[in-house]
Amino acid sequence: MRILLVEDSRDLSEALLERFRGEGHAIDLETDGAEAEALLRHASFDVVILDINLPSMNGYDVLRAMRARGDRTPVLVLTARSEIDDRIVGLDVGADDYMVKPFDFREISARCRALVRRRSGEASNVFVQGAFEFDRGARRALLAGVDLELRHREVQVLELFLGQLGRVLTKDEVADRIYSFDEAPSLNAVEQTMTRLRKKLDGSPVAIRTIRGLGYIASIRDD
Amino acid sequence: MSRARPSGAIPAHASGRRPYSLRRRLMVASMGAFAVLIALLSAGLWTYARSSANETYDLLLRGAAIAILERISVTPEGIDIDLPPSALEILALDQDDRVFYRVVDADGATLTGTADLPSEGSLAKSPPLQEPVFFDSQYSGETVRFVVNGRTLLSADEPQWVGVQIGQTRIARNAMERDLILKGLVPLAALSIAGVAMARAGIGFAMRPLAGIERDIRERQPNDLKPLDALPPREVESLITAINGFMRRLDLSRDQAESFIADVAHQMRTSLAALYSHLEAAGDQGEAGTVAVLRARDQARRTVRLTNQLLSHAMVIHRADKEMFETIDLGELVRRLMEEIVRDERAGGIDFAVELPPPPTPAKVMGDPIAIREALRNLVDNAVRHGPPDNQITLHVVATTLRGRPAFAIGVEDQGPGIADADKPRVVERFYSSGPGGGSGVGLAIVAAVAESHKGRLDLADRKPSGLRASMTLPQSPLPGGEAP
Repeated sequence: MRILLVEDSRDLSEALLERFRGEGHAIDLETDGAEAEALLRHASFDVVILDINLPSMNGYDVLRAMRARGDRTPVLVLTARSEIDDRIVGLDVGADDYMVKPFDFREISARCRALVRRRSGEASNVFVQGAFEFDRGARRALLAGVDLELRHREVQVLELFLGQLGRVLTKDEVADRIYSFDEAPSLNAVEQTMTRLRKKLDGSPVAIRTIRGLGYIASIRDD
Repeated sequence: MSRARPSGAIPAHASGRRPYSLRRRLMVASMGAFAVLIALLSAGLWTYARSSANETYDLLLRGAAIAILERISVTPEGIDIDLPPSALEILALDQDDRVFYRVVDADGATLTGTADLPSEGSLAKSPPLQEPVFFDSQYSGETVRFVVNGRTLLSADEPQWVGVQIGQTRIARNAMERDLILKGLVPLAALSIAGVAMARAGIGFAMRPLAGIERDIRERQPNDLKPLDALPPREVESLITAINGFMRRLDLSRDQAESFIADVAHQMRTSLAALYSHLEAAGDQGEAGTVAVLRARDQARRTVRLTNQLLSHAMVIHRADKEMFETIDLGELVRRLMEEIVRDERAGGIDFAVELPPPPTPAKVMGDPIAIREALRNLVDNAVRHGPPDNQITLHVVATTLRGRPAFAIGVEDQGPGIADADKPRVVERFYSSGPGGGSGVGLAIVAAVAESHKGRLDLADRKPSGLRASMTLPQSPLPGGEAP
C-alpha cells in the first residue's frame, strides 16, 4: 500500500511510520495541512491517514478540498475523544472511516487494508475479503472458491450491504432497494431473504447483523 | 445544580447598554420634583403678586373716583363739577404713570374730561351702577387700568345719575408686581438649591454602604469566597443575600472541581504506576517478559479508557454550562449510535434490539446531542461490560411524562447481574465501580451529569430474572432559564 500520513505529533507519527514500514508499506509523512493538500493535488495514494488538528489548514479542509476535486482516495480520519462530534462532521465531509486516539496499531492497519480493498473492489467489480469473493458483474459470490448459489434477490441485498458497510439499513430501506414499484414489497419476504442470505454467508467474513426494532447492519471481519 | 461561570471579568455593558447611575437617577428625579414645585409656586406667586398689586392701586383709583363723585353736585343750572386737584395727584405719585379721567351723565355723554376713553360696556348697564367696576383696556398704546363709578344725585325734580371714569397706566403696579414676585422667588430658588444639594449629599450618604461592599469584594483574594460580612441596609439585603448565595455555589463548584482534579490525578497516577511496574517487570525478565508486556498493554488500554472517560465527563459538564441545546431526533441518534457500537463492539454474540415509539410519535427532545449520545454510549458500554457474552441489550425510547411534562425515557436494558440496591445510589458517584467487570467508575457519573444538565432523571431498576434497566428520562424541552433547584 502507498500511504500518506498527515499528522503533526512526532511521537505518534514516528511510531506509525515504523510500524507501517515494518509491514512493508510505502508511507510518506506530512506534518502541515496546507503542504499535505498541495501534495495530494499531484501525487496519488492508496489511502490517506488524516489528523484533524493540523497547522495552517485543518484536516476537514484538506478532506473537503480533496472531495471537491473529485479525489476519491480513501481517507481515515484520526480524532481525539474530546472532539467526539468531529466524527459526525468527518463522515459528512467525506471521510471513509475514523479512529479515536489513542488506538491500537493492528486496528489502524486492518482498517487501512479494509479501505484499500473496498476501493479496489469497487474499481474492479470484484469484492475480495479473505476466502470470500463477490463478483458484481457475474452477480455471484464465492467462498473458498465454492459458489454460494445466491438467488437474484440475495445478490441484490448483498450488493446493497457491501456498498453500505457499517450503516444501519431499515427493513423498509432494504425493501425499497430490492423491489420495483410493480412488486408488492413485503417485509416478511425481506426477512426471509435476509435469513437465507445470512445462512449462506455463514463462515464468510461478511456478517449481517439484525438489530431488532431497527434494521440490519453489515460488517466485515478482518482476520 | 452548580454552575460555575468563568471568573473572567465580563464588562457590565457588554450588551451595548450603558450602566445607569443610581446617583444620577435620584438627582434627576429630585431636581425634576423641585422644578415642578417651583413652577407651581411661581404660578401661585404670580397670581398673588398681580392681585395684591391690583388691589393696592385699585383702592387709590377708587378713592380718586369717590373723591370726584363727592364734589359733583346738582345746581339749578345743571350739574356742577368741582374737580378736586388732590384726587388726581394721589394717582400721579408715580412720575411715569399717566392718568386719564372723564365724567359722564346717564346717557354716556361726556360732561368733562377725555371723551374717548374705552368704557367696555360698563356704562351701558341698567340700572346704572353704583359700585365701582375695574377693568384693563388698551388706550393710547398702553394697557390702562380703569375704574368706573357712579352716583345718583338727588335734585329737586328727579334723581340724576353721574358717572366718573378714571384710568391709570400700569407702570407702578407692574413694578410692584415684579417686586413682589422677585422677593418671593429668590428665597424659593435658594431653598431649591439647598434642597438639591442636600438630596445629593443624602444620596451619597445612602450609597456609602454599597461602596463599602464594593471595596470588600474588590480587595478580596481571588480564592476568598467567604460571605460578605457587611451589615447591609434593608434595601439591598436581598442583593447581598444573592451575592452570598452565588459565592457559596461558586465555592462549592470550586471544591468540586478541586476534588475532581485530585481524584483524576490519583486515578491516573495509580494507573500509570501499574503500567510502569508491568513494563519494568518486562524489562527485567528480558526475553521471558512477554507476559508482563501483555499485562502492560492491558493496563495501558485501561488507562486510555480511563482518560477518555474522564475527558468525556469533563466535556459533558463543560457543555452543560454552555447549554448547547437543539432539537434531536432520538431515532436517528440511536441509529447512529448502533452503527458505532456494532463497529467497535468486541463481542459479536450480543443480541441488540431497539424500541422506538411507533411512527406517528416523533421522538424528539431539546437537548445536547453530543452529551446525550455520550450518556447512551456509556450505558451500552456498561451493559456490554457487565453482561454475559450472549447478552440481550435493548435500547429503548419511550414516551412518558416527567413532573407533569411530556418527556422521553431513553435507556438500555441488559441481562447482566444488575446492581445491588445498596450500591445503586453510589454507582453514579465518580470512581465508584461495582461488580467483577468493573470499569473506570466514570460511566454512570457521566450519565447522571447529562440527565441533570437536561433537567431529567436517571433511574436504575433491576429486571426479572436478572439484568438492569438504566434509563434517562429527559423532558421534551427543558424549561427556559431552568427551574431553581
